[in-house]
Amino acid sequence: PGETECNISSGINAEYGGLHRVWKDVFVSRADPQPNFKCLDVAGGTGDIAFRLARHMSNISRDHETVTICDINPEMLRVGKERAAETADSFTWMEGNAESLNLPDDTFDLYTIAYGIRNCTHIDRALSEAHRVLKPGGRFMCLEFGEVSNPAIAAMYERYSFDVIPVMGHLVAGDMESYQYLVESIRKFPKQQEFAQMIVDAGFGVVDYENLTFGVTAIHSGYKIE
Amino acid sequence: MIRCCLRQAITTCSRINRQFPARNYFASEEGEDMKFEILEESLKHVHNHGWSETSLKLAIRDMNLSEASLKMFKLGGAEIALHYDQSLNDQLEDMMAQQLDDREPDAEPVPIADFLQDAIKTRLELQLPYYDRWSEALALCIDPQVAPKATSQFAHLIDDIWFYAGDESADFNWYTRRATVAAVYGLTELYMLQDTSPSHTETWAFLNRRITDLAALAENRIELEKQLESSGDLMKAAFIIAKNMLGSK
Repeated sequence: PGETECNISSGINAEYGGLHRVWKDVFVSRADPQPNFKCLDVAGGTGDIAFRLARHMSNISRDHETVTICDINPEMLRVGKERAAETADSFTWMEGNAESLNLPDDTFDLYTIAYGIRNCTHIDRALSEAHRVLKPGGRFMCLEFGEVSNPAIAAMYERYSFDVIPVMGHLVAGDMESYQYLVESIRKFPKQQEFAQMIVDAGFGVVDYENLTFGVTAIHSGYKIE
Repeated sequence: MIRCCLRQAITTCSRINRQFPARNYFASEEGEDMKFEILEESLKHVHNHGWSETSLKLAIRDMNLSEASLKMFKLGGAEIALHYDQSLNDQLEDMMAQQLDDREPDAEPVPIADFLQDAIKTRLELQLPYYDRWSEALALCIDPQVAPKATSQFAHLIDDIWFYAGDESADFNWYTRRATVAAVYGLTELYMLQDTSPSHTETWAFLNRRITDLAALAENRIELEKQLESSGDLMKAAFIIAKNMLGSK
């Protein structure tokens, strides 16, 4: 599983290419973390989101809170630490499970999870853990693949995801199975509206979502309500 | 360069999607309650910091909430002004409903012109506690992001006033009725902003003259539809005048 995820991660980068990076840029600009925010990024061991959060805060003020990175996969964390050495920032690295975080209650201002929540066996548990570790009024944000509701575009995307990606995956990563897994996990993940309802059910308020690229990716946001 | 273009394309698409937030917004009662409480708390800071994010931030800090909750307010400080405006509209409606309840069953109905004048005066007086910051509130409403909400709240206020006025004549159609009272209200509000007379007696005299004009028009059955714009345009004009007044200070 660990290896599969690493392959998938680099595979996503290969397939969605520049688009992937742009989605992450938009995600962090929507989050707009302030220098005094305590940020937790979950399932992002390689640091993509965390580095962006830190850079965003650095642009406002050189003195800013350290971003905490949590991932279930030590290999991802190792890669992340290597990449972090090249940035000027320091991070807190934690091996942990999104469904059962070894972190105290009411700690963080911002909880982010990018392309990670769909891999959780129990999404509701990940959501309630997010709720627990956030301060009251703290914000949950999730970047994840979504459903393309426009039928014309959906048809094009479907052909791309099922026909093109696995084949290219086979060529690029030499691992057809990783790609099948990726595509299936995208299909099984709840649609935007359904996922938003799950977020509300977990105790968040002022929940909404924003589609990027016609819904290929979506940003969900909610706030911890007492 | 390409990344820049890609980002432009994506944000444009998402902006199109955000035109219709109602579809994507999941209101929960507790969430709305929290926003309401923050906005109420923010009012305490408006005299010192205006209808601004600073006022929101101070309220959020007072309530021991995470500063991340500032992003609940997509229109920023303008949401404090909208919230306050709505709360006064609600207050007026309660007062008009109460007046209706208290009325004797076979008492003479209040003449419409008198009712309109009284309702507008009452509503404008409710704003006096924030008189020092009122022109700023109006200026905020011109912003194209804020204007739709501000205009719709105002339209509901006018509809409520007409409802309780109890006018059943067929002289005017629905939209002219709205437009005429909206015009009188808007002009009176602007007049009040630069009226220095004690207890705003000049403003109430102005209001009285406008209502008298209106009554005269009704008597003469002039085709107002052709001469008056929609109430939305009128409010926009009123806000623009307010903004210019602010600039000239």
